Amino acid sequence: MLTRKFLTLIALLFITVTAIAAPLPTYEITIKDGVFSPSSIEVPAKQRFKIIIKNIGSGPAEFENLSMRVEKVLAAGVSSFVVIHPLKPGSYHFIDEFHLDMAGFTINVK
Amino acid sequence: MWQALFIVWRESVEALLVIGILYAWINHQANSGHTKKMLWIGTALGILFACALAVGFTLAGEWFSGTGGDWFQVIMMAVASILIFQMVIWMQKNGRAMKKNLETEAAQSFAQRGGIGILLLAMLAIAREGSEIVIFLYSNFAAAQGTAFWLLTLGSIAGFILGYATFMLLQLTSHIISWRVFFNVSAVILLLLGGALLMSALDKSSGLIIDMLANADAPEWSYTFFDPVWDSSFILSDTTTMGSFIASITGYRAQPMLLGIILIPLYWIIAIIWTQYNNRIKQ
Repeated sequence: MLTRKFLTLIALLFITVTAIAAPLPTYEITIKDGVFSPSSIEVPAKQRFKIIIKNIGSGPAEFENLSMRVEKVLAAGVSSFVVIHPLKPGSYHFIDEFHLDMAGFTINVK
Repeated sequence: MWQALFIVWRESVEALLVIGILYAWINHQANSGHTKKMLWIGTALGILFACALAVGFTLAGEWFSGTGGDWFQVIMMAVASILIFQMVIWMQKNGRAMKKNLETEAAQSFAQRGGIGILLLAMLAIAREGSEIVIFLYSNFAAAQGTAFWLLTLGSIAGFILGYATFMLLQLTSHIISWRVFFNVSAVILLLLGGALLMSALDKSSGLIIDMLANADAPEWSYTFFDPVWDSSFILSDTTTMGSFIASITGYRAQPMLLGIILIPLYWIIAIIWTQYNNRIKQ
């Protein structure tokens, strides 16, 4: 099963190198000690998209929404991304697991 | 927490079994005091090796921050999943003859190298079980901080205590509850955990793979493997206490992606065929 995974991976890497880039719709946010900026984004329904998160705070942050299985730990100064699968219209709330007292972050799907 | 508890429990029983057999064997030898000391030194060195490995993984994980770190975790989870397979198969092949094999090995290495041989034997056995614990726990601990970290630590300690208790119980009552039953039951739970780890690896890698697909301008159908197929959260959500327990033991997802629905049955078919095949060889 691992070999299969690795083969897929190698195939994907090959495609990545050879094809022309057409990246996902991307939104950038920052977390600074539990404060999200911007604090919410609006996205169209039924569309896959990417959120780039940069932790500019002094300690670690964890971008989290458990029911969507998004759990991204970011050390101070680290930036990474998550890909969100197509969503139904509605409001989806995310938190910084290390700053539960703060307002968090919302994705509004229209 | 439950994964940590179970893994440490099962691995400690296995490690204690090895030490127990060696200990009993040494008791029948002359000059057993000195040899026993070598056994304990070997055990300590094995534990030390596993700890060093844990520190190494943590440092490596920190070094790879961002996407590199994510891939590192995905690979560790996949390795842990494969290791579970290998462990179950190994136990099935060697479980019955383990005592005899170990005693023969102990006698040989004792004859060749004296106490040092016993030391090496104990060290290798403990380092083996210890590294397995480290790899499993790393997959769980990597993302855990704060409360989750302490729950995992608690689970690991409880697992070790439970492992010790189980070992003693099995030693004292081996005519009532057999080792074979213990290994068979725990093998099934181990395989369940292996599947759960596979699902976690898939969750963790899906975003990375989708991003690669997007950069590669991949056709639309290739994304569908990573899209949720259904939503059964109204029956059992995997975020409730009960749901997340079941999820961490079996790999259950309320919104599973297509690739998961394909991989999990495949995993079980391979597991069943493989274990049945090994059973047949034995008979």
